Amino acid sequence: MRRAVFLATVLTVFCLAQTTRAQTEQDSVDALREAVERLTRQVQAMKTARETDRRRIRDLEESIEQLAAAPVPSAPVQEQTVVEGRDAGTGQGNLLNPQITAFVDVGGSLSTDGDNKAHNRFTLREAELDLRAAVSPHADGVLVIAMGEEIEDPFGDVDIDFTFEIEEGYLDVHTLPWDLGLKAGKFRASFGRNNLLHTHDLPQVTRPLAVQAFLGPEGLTTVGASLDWLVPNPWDRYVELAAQVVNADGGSESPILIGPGAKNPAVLSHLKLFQDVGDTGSVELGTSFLYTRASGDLDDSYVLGADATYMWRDPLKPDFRSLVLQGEFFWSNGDSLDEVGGIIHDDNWGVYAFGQYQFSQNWYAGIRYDYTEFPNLELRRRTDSDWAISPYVTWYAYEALRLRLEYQHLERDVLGQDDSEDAILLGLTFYFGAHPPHPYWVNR
Amino acid sequence: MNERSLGREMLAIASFAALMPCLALAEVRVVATNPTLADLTRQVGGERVRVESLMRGPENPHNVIPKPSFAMKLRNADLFVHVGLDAEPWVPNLLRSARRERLLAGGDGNVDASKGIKLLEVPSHGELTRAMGDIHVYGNTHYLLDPLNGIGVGHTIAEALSSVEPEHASLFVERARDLEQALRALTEKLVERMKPLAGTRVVIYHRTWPYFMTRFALEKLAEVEPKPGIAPGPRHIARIAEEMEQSGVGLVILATFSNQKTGRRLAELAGGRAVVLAQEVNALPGVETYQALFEHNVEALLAAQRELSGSSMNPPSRETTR
Repeated sequence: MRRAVFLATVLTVFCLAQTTRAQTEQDSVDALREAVERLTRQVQAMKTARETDRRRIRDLEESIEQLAAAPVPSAPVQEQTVVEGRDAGTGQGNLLNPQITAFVDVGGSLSTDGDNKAHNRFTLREAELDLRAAVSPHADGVLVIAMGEEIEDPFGDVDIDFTFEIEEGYLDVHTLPWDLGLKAGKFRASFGRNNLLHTHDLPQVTRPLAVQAFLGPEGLTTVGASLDWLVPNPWDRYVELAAQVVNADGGSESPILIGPGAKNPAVLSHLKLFQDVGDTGSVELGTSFLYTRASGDLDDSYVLGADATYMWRDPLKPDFRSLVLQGEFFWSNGDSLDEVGGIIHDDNWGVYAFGQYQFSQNWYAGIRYDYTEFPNLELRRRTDSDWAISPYVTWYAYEALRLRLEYQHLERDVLGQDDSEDAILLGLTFYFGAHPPHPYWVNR
Repeated sequence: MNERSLGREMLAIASFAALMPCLALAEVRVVATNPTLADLTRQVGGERVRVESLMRGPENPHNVIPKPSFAMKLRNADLFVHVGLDAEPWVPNLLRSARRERLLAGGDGNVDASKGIKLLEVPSHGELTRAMGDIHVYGNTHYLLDPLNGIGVGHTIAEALSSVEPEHASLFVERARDLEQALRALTEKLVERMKPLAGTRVVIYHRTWPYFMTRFALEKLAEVEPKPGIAPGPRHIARIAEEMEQSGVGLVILATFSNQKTGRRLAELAGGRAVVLAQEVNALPGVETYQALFEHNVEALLAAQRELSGSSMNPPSRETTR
């Protein structure tokens, strides 16, 4: 019996032990299964990740290959590139629009000449829009639209008119064979130095009297074509010859193109020589010639011009000290019709000269002398000749904002009698938009 | 008979002798906008190049008047090396007047040195207005004032020279590598030399110096110009002087084209030192190479700092700062 009990106990213990062992084994198997499953999941995840990485690497390799095949961009590497409209399906958008600059020129005068209604008032002399962009690899397009205030009859009732004008609109082919350049359209004629300047570029408040008398109140700007040639020479000096064929019927705006009597086209030429003087000085000399044929009994007319400019900048303080000396001479010969239709043949001359010194970073002082006769009878009816002396000060508050104060003493010779006028002139000029092309103002 | 043939031989020898220098002188003609780029070109091109700079060292690169004689120089050039970006607004019109298609933007001879340079102070969209002053729309254009940027420019120049003279390409590439090594060694040496000044705050006149300051671990307290290109008024100067005194900043860094009088007055007000650094090769006497520019600027800053520490032994007064 004792044996039976012992056996039963042993069996029970064995069974219990077996059961427990089976339980433990089951647990281990479960744990192992779980671990295997976890590992399988991890391996699967790694496989997927590797696949993604492979795909990414492949994509990157492709992009690198594409980049290597493409030409190296010349644009600078920037930290950010914002291209408007790229995703909006708007095509090129405004990206190829021309460079646009707006200039505004406001004047004011206080004068002893009370009869002239254009004096003793503020004037919006000019608001100008300057648009330019490349037309092709060889040519640029330039369009300058000007609006300004004009007093219809300065000696009558004040009647203010706003004029709208295409001041310039031309194609500039800048790289032609044999060092040639071509302009076609409406442009400022290459007559002397001052005529090339727009109103906002003038070194003084007013345009020199001789330029106004010989080339027009705003200078000579006509429609035609111009061929410029950089003349090769053994001394390798800058010699430029311009030949222009333009419309002669410029009307009263261009007094020398004698209106009704003029026959198209007029021809114009300009020879320019430039020479550096020392490290920071330079001299420019030029001669100009304008010739118009006349119709009927009238003689042909022509204007000759000569100009000289000396510029200097302080070698050590180029932004703070500079000097400009400039002079131009005009001489004309031709016929014009008087009030009763009679023909008057005569010659006239005019001259201006100015000196300007920069005495600090933003301040300039200068003085201009003017003398002129009048080739245009309409103007001559009021005065035979004028001379004037005008000291002035210019202050650049900022590169794009300039103020100018000028005093002008003017003497008119009216039928042998002197008539004088004193005036204080103000000029405010500013621009906004794209940086205008250099040279901007005479020395700035 | 002998006399005649001798004469002929003499003539042949004479013409050969006359041609020799021409053959030897056949070189790449390069026009650079400024003396720094001209010097880098000279270093990479060696005797194979003839380089001219349009601008003079002391000038302000933004205010150069493009003279007709510049166009004459360009007409004979194989390459035109320029700073690129909007650093030199006088360049586009000049290139048109030179009438050389290859030198125009995008042409083979037009070398834009800014290619591949990482720019600082790139304005965000909202900052692109003149209300922010005379800003540069692509970022700060004075990148040549980090000596390590000279390396990339050297390679750009070597590539351009090689396109003109492929037979000397290996020479140009090798010289660009030499330049790279020289600039790395110089930078390492000068950064070490500038260690005592590392982290020093300074006042700069115009934003000419950020690349230089980043490389040599200088920090900016203020700019003398209230906004780039805008002249400071007396109140602005007084405010900066006060700020300098409060934060113990004494160095005012000027370029040769900065308003020296204003810069010195500010330094005097704050009991500090104004120091004129060379922003360009040839801007100051003795600064004749790109490497000399950095050597000079580092020594000038260290000297100014020494003077400053010397004078700060005494309480700052107008007498000591003059």
